[in-house]
Amino acid sequence: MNTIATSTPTPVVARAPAVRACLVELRCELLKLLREPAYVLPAVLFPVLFYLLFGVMLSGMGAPPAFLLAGYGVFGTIGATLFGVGVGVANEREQGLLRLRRALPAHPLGWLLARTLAAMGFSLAITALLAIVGSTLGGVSLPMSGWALLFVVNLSGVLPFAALGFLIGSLVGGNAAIAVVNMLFLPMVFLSGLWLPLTMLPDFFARLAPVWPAYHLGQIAFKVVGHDAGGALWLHLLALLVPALVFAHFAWRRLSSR
Amino acid sequence: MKRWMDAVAAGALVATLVASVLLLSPANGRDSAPATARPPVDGFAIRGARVFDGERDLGIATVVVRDGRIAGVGADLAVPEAMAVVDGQGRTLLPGLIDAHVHAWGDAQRDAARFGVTTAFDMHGMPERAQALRTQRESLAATGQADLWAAGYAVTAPGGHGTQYGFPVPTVEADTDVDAFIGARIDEGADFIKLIVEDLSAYGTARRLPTLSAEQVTAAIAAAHARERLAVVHVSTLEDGRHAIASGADCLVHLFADAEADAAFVTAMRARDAFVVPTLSVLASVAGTGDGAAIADDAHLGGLLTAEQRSSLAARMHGGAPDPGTLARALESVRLLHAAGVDILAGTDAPNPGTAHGASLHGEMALLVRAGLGNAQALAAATALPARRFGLSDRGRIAPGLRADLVLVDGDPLADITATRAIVTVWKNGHPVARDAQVGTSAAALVPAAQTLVGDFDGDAITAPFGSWQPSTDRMAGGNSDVAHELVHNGAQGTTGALRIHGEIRPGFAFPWAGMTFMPGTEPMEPVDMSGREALVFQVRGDGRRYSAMLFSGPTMQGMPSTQTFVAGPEWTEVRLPLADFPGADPALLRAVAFTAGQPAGGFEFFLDQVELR
Repeated sequence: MNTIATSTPTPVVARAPAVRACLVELRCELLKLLREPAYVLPAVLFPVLFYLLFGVMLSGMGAPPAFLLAGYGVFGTIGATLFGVGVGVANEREQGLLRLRRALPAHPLGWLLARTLAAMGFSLAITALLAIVGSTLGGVSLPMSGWALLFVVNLSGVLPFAALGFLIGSLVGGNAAIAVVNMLFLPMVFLSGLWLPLTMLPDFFARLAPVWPAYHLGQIAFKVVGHDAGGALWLHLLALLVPALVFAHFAWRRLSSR
Repeated sequence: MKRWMDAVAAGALVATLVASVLLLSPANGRDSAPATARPPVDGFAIRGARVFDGERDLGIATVVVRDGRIAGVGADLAVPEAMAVVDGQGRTLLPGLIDAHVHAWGDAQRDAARFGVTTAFDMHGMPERAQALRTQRESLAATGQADLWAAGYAVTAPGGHGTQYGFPVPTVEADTDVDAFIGARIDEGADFIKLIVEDLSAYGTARRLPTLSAEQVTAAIAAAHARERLAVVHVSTLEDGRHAIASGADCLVHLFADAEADAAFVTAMRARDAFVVPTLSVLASVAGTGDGAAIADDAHLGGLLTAEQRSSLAARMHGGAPDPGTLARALESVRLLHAAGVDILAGTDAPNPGTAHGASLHGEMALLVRAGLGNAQALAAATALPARRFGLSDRGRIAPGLRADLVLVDGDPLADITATRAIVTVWKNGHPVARDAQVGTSAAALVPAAQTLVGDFDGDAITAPFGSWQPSTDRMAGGNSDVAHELVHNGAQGTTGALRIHGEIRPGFAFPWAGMTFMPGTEPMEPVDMSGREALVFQVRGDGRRYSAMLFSGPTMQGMPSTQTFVAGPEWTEVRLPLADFPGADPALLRAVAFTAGQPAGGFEFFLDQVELR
């Protein structure tokens, strides 16, 4: 007969304060990323280098400088988010850190929020660098409200792609995540008209562009600089919101089921 | 429960993707029937040109024009993607030029606009047209004519200068109440008061004309000012100029020919903030220096002159032996006045002998540079300065909100003032101005705007209320394609007939074509001003092939056509192609509209009906 356990009080699961936990998570996440210059530098500099090449040096190709500035801002935001969140989650899940986290008293949302905020930090840096290069070398002039709107679009654009990143990270391992993100990211930004206007692509691709979330975020950014294709803003927002919720739903299901 | 939520989520994702493609596909408008294409963005932008805004050089900048007005000017102004863009690289954009001294009748306003002069000041004429001129210059409608501000009848003495032109002119006699006389001119609609003080004594001839007395000049200027009108004065001697300025004249509309300006005169001009329109063009004609003939010989200007303008430029004012001193003294006076800070305005006195509307203003600017003005100052003398001194607030500069009167020229007049002559395009009220010397005088160009139908194909022959229909194939370019056409019964929407066009596209030319062409002019490929029309609208049915509508336009017949495509399906369908969507086309110089089949090779058949330019 075993009577030892019966008198033990039921352990109370005590969680740390949510905001503080988030901030600690965010600090750790940023520290971790900053210690990986091989990730940070390409993520931040590639959009700017691409913009310098296509938007400044080859500016005679016909795409307006402000169009390219907006496009490369969205491109950088999506890249930093998918790689940061998607590959990051996949790695941690593979290393068993996820299981460890479940045993910790921190709120699980803090961990997700920290990754999302870190991606926003990257987006902020990319957009700021592009704004500096665009307004000086690229000759782009926008009213202050235009610059501010571009920042808002890119920062909030992190959310749907963070959801997609979580889904990818929940589905595949670390190495596979890099491959999956690459396979998805590069064709998506290209076929969404973020590098070159869709009018330069065959009709078929232009017609299918709205299946990509990147297209809708791009169109919102292009609206800011007056170069969008004319769709209603609320339709683009809806086309970003629904996939974001669906991706988040499935990611949450996958992550919480193990 | 969880499975149920997954199904809803997946369903929502699929529904969103499908709806996105259906609702937001950017290619939808491009490839479906052109009738449903996105409406064109109104207006246009000029990009890459150096912009001289009337006062200063803005460097390379973009200028956006909407609804006949300048909507924006800036180094990197965002241009909406669907907006037509005019390439300004290597070119300079100027405000529409202003000639501050003309006498406008006949085709003057059209002649002026052709050379980039979009506004002029008429210094003596009949006042009956005052209201019409006012309506015209307040309108933003498409026009190939310069706007006019007019003095109406100039103020002169019985038998004096200004009475010799064949129309009765009220004159100031010894006992005339000058104040009431000026009031009558203003009641007639005079925009400003022009006085003529001229007895011919400046020209070394014995003949004398009666003219206004010094007291009458003083009284007339005071009467104009009492009614808040500018008083501008024609003089030809330094003494008359001195008296006019002392009496408070705002402006001398000629420089005197008898002497150089002296220090006292320059000081008086400066002290009273008076300005001067030296009219060096007509003084050069008086001097017999051949400047008018040089304008006619100019490679850029000569081809745009009418026969009348040509003969006027070849003629000479006053005759006699050439006296280059007349021009030299005037140039020196301009130099002194300009150095003292007196405003110098460009004016030609066209169409006097040795001058021509429009063309001579380019010569005037060059003469001003000869007299010591900088290139920018000479350009300002023909743009911002006359607008400011005459109180015209809606023109003379390139700035947001102002009327889109613009001149795009090749090269840089800030480096070489004669570059103003290499005009690429003139816009009046935001519409390109037809620049062929014959445009506006031919019968086809007078097509009433209400006449939109150019082919109903209901009669026994293919006719149009203006212009003509012709078959057209690549054989004229060395190809082998064939076309035939005939009138058939049962047109679109139950009309009697339609035009059947059929044939075969055969390889043998890089861009094979065959079809029918509508030419709006009386002569083949003669340009007609269709800038007021918005779209090519027609009914079509056929074999399901994709066909092209090609617009031939522009200053020469050799220009590449601008093309939009449409599909001819089995049922009659209305196709509407906005003229603004034909890239690079210039409806102000429309030469032909072709409906053609092209690649791939093979037989084709389509039917046209109810073709409209509306």
